[in-house]
Amino acid sequence: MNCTKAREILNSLIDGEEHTRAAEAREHTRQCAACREWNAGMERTLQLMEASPDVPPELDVAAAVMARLPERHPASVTRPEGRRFSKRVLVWVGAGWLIGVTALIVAGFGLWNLLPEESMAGAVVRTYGSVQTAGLLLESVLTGSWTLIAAVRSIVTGVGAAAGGLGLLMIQLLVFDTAVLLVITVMWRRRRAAAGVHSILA
Amino acid sequence: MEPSDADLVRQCLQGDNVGFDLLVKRYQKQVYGLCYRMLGDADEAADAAQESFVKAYNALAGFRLDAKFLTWMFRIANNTCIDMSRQRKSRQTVSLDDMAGEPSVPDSPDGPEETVLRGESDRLVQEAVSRLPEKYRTALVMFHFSGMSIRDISKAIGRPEGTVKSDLHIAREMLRQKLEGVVADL
Repeated sequence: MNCTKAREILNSLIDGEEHTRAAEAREHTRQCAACREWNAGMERTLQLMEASPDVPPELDVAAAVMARLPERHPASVTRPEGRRFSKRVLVWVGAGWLIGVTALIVAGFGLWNLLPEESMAGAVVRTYGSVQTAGLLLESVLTGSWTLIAAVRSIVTGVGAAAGGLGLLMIQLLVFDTAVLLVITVMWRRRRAAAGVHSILA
Repeated sequence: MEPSDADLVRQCLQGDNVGFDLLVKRYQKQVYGLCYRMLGDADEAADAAQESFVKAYNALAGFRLDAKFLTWMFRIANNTCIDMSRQRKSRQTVSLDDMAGEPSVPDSPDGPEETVLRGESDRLVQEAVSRLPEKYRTALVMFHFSGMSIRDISKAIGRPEGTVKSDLHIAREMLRQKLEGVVADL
């Protein structure tokens, strides 16, 4: 073991740590004059630090500190007992609003999809009598109804969350509804496009 | 049964300053001790301790109730001392070679002879500590004078434990070199 390693280990022992090579480091220190001197100097330094007097026994800064403080902590004035809104609650309210607004947008998108296309699909049925188009019309009505129900539910839940009902459950419901709305709308449009409804109408 | 630190913080945040008064009385010596070792002057240390508690009071709403109050206090006190130390740096000169000066040393409950001897060695140690660079001084003071663990020091100053350990080793080595020879006869 070299001197650097031995001193590093001795330093770790001073820190109160255990070291697997502690005995080796001590043995090196016994045999190495430079390390013996280093160790003696370190021990003297530690003794001096330990012997150093503590704080004056009469020390009392409490009175001076308290004299500089307001009568009540500002937090107790701005957040009276019983009417506290923690950061977490505010985050939930914010999330509730955000998701509620998103749900409204998605619902609007769903309605936009439903109304004009349904009427146009009806026209297609009258004009061509296509079974495929009639199936699409039925699907449109069903999907659109579901979209409306889910949208209303999302809005109610969103308003509830934003108004302070809060809670993880409400937020989860909102996320679920919004996701379902998105999936339904996207699938519905894709199927319509794949079925060529737009081209028929055009 | 004594109220916990968290109880006292809560009490203060609810508008009862008695809670904070008890916290100051509970920890003023430790905080003063840290300030004294960081600054090397009893009067400045008292000012720094006072300032640290006022800062803590103003920041109390941000204190995490599951954290150790003293560790949090030490962080504030350490920052306060570093600020004060920087402010006075230009006007203060400390020299190990200049033994004629009479820096302010805390009073000791010992007898006159012991007080002189202990005062002298303490002055030498304190001067050497005062001359250490900030980060090394912080690690050394917190570990050897405030009795903090390396983990708590790491939390208090926001540096990794390995860095604290390394700073501590360097600080001890620097202190050893500064005191070498000077203290051999004491």
